Amino acid sequence: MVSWPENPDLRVQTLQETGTVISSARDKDALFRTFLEHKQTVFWICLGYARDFVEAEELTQEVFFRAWTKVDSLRDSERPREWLCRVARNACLDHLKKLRLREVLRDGLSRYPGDERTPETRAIYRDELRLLKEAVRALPRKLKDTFILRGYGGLSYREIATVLGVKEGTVMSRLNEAREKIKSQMKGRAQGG
Amino acid sequence: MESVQVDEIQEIIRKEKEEAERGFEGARFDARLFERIRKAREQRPTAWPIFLIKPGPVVAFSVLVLAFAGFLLFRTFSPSPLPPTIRAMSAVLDKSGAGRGTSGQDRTAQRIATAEYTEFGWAIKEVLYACKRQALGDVSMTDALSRVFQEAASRAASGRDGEDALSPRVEAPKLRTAEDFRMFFAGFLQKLKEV
Repeated sequence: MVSWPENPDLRVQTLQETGTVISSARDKDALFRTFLEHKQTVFWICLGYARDFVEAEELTQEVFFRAWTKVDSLRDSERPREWLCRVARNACLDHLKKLRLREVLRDGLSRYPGDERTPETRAIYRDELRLLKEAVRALPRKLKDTFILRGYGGLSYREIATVLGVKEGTVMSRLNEAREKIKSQMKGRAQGG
Repeated sequence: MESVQVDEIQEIIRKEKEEAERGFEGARFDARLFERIRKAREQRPTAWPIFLIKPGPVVAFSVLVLAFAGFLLFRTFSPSPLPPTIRAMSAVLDKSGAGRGTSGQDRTAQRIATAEYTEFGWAIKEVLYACKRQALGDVSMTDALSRVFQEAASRAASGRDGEDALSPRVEAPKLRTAEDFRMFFAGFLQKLKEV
C-alpha cells in the first residue's frame, strides 16, 4: 500500500528539502500545499479516465503541474479541492482526445502489477475491469465525468455539482443514468463474449 | 456475469484502486513533480523578454532620462555668453599674465594695482563727464563706458553708410547692441583688474 502522508506539514517539508521554491508569493505556495493534500483524490479521478495506474500517475503529474501554472486563476470564492478536481477532469479529457483510448484499451490493461490471487481469479477480475473500462469510456461525456468523479474520486454530490457547474439534482440523475448504462453495457458485452 | 449490480461496479473499482496503490510510488511522484516545477521556473521568461514584448513604458522612461541628462550636459558645457571678441581679448590678457608667481611680493603688487584701478576708474568717469557734459549718476563703469562707446559706434556706422553707399558692405562689427558693449567692457575690466 502506498502511504499517503496525512500531515500536510510533512509535504511542505518535502517541498523545502528538495530546494524547490514554488513561488515567490507566499499565497501561491500555500495554495499549492493545499493542492497536495488532495493528491490521492486526483489520482483516483485520473485512474477513472486512464487505462491503468501508470497512465493515471502521468496524468496526476500533469494535473499538479497545470495546477501550479494556473494557481493564480483560482478565485477566492472557489474551494481548492473542487478547483483541482476541475483541472484534473480537463487534463484527463485532453489526454483522452490525444490517445483515443478506446483503440488501445486492451494493451493498457497488461500493466497492472500482479497480486496474490490465483491466475484464474485474476483473469476474471481483469476481464471485469476491461468491461468496466470500456463501458465507462463508451458513456457520453457528461455521464462519464459524473460517474468518475463519484465512483473513483469519491466526491460528494455537492462537490460534483460545483466541479461540473450543474445542480445536485442533475448530478444524481446523471449518476443513475450512467450506472444503468454501464450495467447494461457490461451485461451485453459479457453475454456477447 | 448475468446481472451487474452497482455494488459489483464499486467492487471492481475498489480492486482497481488497490492494485494502483501498490504500483504508485509517492516519493518518486513528488520528486518528479518538484523537478518539473523547478525546470519550469528556470525557463520562465525574465523581465527582459517582457520588456521586448511591451517596450512602451520602458522606452518612455528612457527618453525622459536621456532628455534630463542632455539638459544637464547643456547647462554644464554650454558656450560662454561672452562674445568671441571678449574671449579673444581674454586670451591675450592671459598670455600677458602667464608665468607670474603668487609670492607675497606679487600679492602686494596686486593690492597696489587694485588701488590704482580704482583711481583709474574715477579718472575714466571724469573724462566721460567732460565728454557728455552731464552727470553720469551712480552707474558702474562698465555701463558708463558701454553707453558712450555704443553712441560713438552708431555715429560711425551712420556716417559710413552715407559715404560708402555704393561700395561693398563691410562685415558689421560684432559689438552691436548695448548688451554686447556691456559684456565686452565687463570682461575687459575684469581682465584689467586681474592683470
